[in-house]
Amino acid sequence: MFEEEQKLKKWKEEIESKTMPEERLEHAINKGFEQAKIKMQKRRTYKQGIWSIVVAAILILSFVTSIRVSPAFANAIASIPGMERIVEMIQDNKGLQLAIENDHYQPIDVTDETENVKVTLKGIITDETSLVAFHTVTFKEKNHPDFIVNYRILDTDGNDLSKKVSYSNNWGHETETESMNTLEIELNAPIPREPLVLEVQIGDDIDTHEVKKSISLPFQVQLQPVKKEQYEINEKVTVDGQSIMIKNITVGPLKTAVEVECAPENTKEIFGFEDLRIVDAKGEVWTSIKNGIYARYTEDPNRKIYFLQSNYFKESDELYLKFNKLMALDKEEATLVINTETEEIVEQPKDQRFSDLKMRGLFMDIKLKGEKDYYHDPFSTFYDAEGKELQSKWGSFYQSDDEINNFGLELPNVEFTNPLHFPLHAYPSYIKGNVKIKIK
Amino acid sequence: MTGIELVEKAIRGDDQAFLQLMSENKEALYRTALAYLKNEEDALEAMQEVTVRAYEKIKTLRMPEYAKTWLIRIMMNHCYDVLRKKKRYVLDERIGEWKGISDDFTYLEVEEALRHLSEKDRQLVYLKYLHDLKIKDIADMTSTPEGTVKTRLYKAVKTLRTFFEGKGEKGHV
Repeated sequence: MFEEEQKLKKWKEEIESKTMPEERLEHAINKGFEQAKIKMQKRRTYKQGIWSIVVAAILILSFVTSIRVSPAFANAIASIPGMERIVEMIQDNKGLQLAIENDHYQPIDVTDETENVKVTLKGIITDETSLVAFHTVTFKEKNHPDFIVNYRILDTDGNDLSKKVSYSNNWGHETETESMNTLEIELNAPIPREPLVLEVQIGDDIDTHEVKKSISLPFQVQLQPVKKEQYEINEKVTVDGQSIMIKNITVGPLKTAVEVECAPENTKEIFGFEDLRIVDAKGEVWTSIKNGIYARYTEDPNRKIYFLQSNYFKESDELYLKFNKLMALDKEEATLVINTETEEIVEQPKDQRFSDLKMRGLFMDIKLKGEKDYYHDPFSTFYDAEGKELQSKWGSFYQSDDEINNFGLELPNVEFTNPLHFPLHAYPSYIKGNVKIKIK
Repeated sequence: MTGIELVEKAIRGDDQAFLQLMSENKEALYRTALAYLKNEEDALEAMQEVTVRAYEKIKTLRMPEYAKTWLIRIMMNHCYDVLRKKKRYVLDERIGEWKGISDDFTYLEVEEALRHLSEKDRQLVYLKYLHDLKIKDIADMTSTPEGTVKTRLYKAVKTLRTFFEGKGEKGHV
């Protein structure tokens, strides 16, 4: 066998004489790793996959596995075909359920596809300027790189009418190639009655997010126009020495918005209300949005708008706003400072819940020790050492064992100077009080 | 940290350990991909895909000491899938791109002969002659008795010889 082995040796040498593209190999490993991470996250967080970072919005992420709906709601949806998965999507949103019960849901069922991605617009719910669109997304090939970059609402001339876009995925339990998504788009004007197009932009490069293809789903809003109810409140309350003013409340079919102003001289940064709720005379309760955007900033850093599940379709003579628990942290502690080169956490709140900062190219992983039911995303806009404002292109989130929240952020591909400052927008630290305000 | 400790950490879900493991084996993996696919671009793509598969499956790796063989086998199976999907031998089309350093045609001769082995035997030849793995390790990793591996390898090399000697029948694959 000597001769054969000699030949095989030569053959081996020949293969080994090829130069190794070191850097490109490392890049391929990193890309594969990121891809694997995303796939695993999709699997683990059956409710939330990747979300697009919405500028100046705060997300709450939750995992709901059992379905509970009221008999009235079950009755209302029985007549609409294909509602099962939509029910799953909105099982933690009473307001949207009420909208469907009250026939404020328009089934659509339009499909369009590219070679690899198929999207079906199932139906919509509207308010004055926003709409929620339920749709399914099917990837024909399992490991295809195509993904949804963005959504837009266009008029028939192709003008973009969208102002703010947010969406969440709900991957099928078995298939992994189909997801039921909810999309909320706020338009820059009242919802038009003319024909519209929902455009789904598809890309295949997770680095550039370049739009390569698009899917067009034509529809026309036939739901009755609705008028939001507005209540001016302007009432000041104090919780644990922190002064908070409830300014106004707006009730629409998609959600109820509560505008709140914190006094600038407060020593604590108020991140949010843990149990902000509306209660009617009979004791029925509407709590905050459990899955999606639950608050939004305004131009004034002390003023925020919090979103609750809508009670629009429920008649009531008496309504109260209540809360007992606020998420708050001393202002001087409320920043995370990191160095992406040394992978060091330079500064963080005293109880040091952040750990394991890791960089893979522009992708940053960090762990946060939460508490039971802590599903808040602490990150939004951040700043480099010279004060340059930076935004993450997208992020990921999954919760592993021991209440550890794993956050991933992709840093923008621009030059910046370390360290980076992340003003925190959530943190498991709380203050307590007992507040009840009459709305009407 | 020893190699085995690193692999054990990777199995337990330590991402840094996993990345280091991939990085340490990138040469072997790349050479394997190159041997199968014959060009850099496809080999790099395979590297990415194998990283995904390895990350998904590393929890199922029962013998940390054979992590390298395990990775190479994932790569070989992946490359075989790629080639099968293409339903043609890459060698025929890309042969022009493969300009080696040696003046003789040994490389091409071996490649030609390897085409006539079954995929199972070909993988065996790769593990033994490209990656210099011990027969015992191959046997352990593939849960095959050592004697069987030896016999199969012997037969495979014998088959190669018949082709080197020009005795291979055309179409006999």
